[in-house]
Order: sequence, then C-alpha cells, then structure tokens
Amino acid sequence: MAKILIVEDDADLVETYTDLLEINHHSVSSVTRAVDAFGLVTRFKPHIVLLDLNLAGYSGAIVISMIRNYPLLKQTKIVVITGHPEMLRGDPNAAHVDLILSKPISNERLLSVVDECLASAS
Amino acid sequence: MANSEITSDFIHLLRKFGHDMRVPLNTLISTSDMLVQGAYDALTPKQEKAATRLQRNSYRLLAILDDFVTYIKASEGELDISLKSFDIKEKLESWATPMKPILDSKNISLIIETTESAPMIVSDENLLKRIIQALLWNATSFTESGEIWVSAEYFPDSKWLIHIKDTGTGIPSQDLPHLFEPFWRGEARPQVPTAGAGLGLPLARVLAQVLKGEVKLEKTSSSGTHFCVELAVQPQTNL
Repeated sequence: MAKILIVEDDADLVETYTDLLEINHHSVSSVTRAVDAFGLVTRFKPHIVLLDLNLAGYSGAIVISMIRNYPLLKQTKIVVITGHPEMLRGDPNAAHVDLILSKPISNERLLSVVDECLASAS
Repeated sequence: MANSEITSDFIHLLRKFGHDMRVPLNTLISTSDMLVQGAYDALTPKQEKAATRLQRNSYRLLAILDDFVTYIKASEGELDISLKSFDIKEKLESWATPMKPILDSKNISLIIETTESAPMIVSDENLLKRIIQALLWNATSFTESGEIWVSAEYFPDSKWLIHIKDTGTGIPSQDLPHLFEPFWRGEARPQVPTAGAGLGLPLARVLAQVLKGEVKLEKTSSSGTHFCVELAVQPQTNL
C-alpha cells in the first residue's frame, strides 16, 4: 500500500485517479492547487506525488522544488502526469522528477508506475 | 491562392476529424446516459457517481469538439448565418438555464433585464446563444457570491448592447492581453468542470464578428467584471 498525493486541478480527474488507487488499496490525498500542496505534503508524507504541471496560480513545477528541498521527503517519488510535457523542457526541476507521463494515461500504466515507484523505494 | 487551398484542405480535414470524433463520442454519450438512467440495472451510489462523471465528461468532450470546430469555421468565414426575429429577454432567460444549478449552489442572484418596449431582435439565434452562454459560463465560473446581471439595451435603428456584469474577483492584469487567445489558461481557473475548454471568450468574440458585432471587456476590477456584446440592428424579418 502506498500513500499517494494527487496534485491536479481537474476535479473529475482527481476523483477518477482516487477511485482507481483506492480500489487498489492505496491511501490517497489530493489538492487542486500547488499552493495547497505545501502544507499537505509535509503532513501526509506521501510515498508518491502524482503531479500536474499546468495548475492555477503557481505551476506544478514549484511543488517539485519544494519537495526536493524538504529533507523528510527525500524518498518521495515525483511522477508528473501532464498534457504538456514540453513545459518541463529546459526547466532545472525536470532533473528532480522520477517520471514524466503524458495524459491520458491508462489505468494499467498508472498502477504499474505506482508499483515500480514502491519497488524502487524499498 | 495558396492560402485558400490550405484553408479549404484544412476545413475539409476538420470536418472529417469532427465526424470521426463524433462517432465514438456518440457511443460514450449514449452508453453513459443509459448507465446513469439505470438501463443496465440499478447502480450502487458509488457506481452512479462514477457513471455521472463519465457522462459529464462525455458531454464536456463534445462541447470542446463543437467549440473547436465552430471556432475554426468562424475564423475561416465558413459558418452559415441564419437570421430570424426573436424575443431577447425570453431567450436570455432560457440560455441562462444551464448555469442555474451552479448559481443556486453559490447563492448568486441572476438578474435579466431588457430595455422597455424593445422590439424583437434580428440575429442568428444559435450563434448569439453561444456568445451569451460563453460569457455567462465565464461569469458563473469566476463569481463566488453576489450577482450576475444581464441586460439587453436597444438603441433604435443603431445597435443592441448586451451587458454581462458579475461581482467576481475580476481578471488579473497580467491575463488581460491574452483574454481572447484560444486555449489561454490564466491565473484564475474555475474549480468546477464547465462545458467547453479554453475557447469560451475567443469563441464569443469570433462569433460576434461573424454577426458583424464585437465582444468587449468594458471593465474589470476586484469587485467585478463587465463584458459587452455589441450588435448592429438588422432589418426586421418575417421569418
């Protein structure tokens, strides 16, 4: 079982990911704005963050640097799931991401990515 | 010459694209409608929630596709106009109906007014509906309390002005230059899924131009936003 934080501004997509992950026995928290991720990520201490980039206000990229600058979250895997993977091109934050996936992502792929992240962390 | 060839090819491609997208979308919409209506047996509350999400996003995809194809066709002068006379107040009330559940949930009052003794408006009902609904969705999405005020003003033998004013938080100044750019996503975003995508305001503007009119941002501040649709008065028709 993994603790997974979803940072995604489409409420329906958050519900869909949450249903899929919870049905597969993972523990899920979610926020729709990058600014709300700051407090939650330090309390929830997720194993994996599923991160959208094109968010309202602050870009999802700011969440990457925040997690990587927080020592207690050193082991947290960051998986970017975006419709615009080119947004990270040339961004130094790209080097701190474990995986970049393009939307849409199949259920099978998402679950296997979660399994791979858990396996590589243990 | 080269441009018109490219345009013609592009429009043809878009029509094919639109048609090919509509076929699987039709299956998605019909199947999700039947699921929600219980045609495949009663659903558990969790299943019903998931089916409703599927249904909502099927219609959302259709709205995005429709907006996209309409935007391209309007930009290329490929959109047919069908003028007829109708009562603008009655239509404004009807066009605002889809927003009412969200307005009610936010406790936002909707006020619709027209100039007294205004004649029937002559316009393309479908295109004007899409313009007004795009502006209404925009106002609904970015207003958290207060009111949305829609008014149609008639200036004899000259023009119609349709105002949409809200008491939302206004548009950030850095977003203003991009307001009518297709698919521009600004600082402020709606937190609830609405019909369409990032084409609302650009589509409203290009459709108003098809009707020989204009959509203008009159004012925006921290206490609200005011858009105005200006349409030239067309000769009365018997249609």
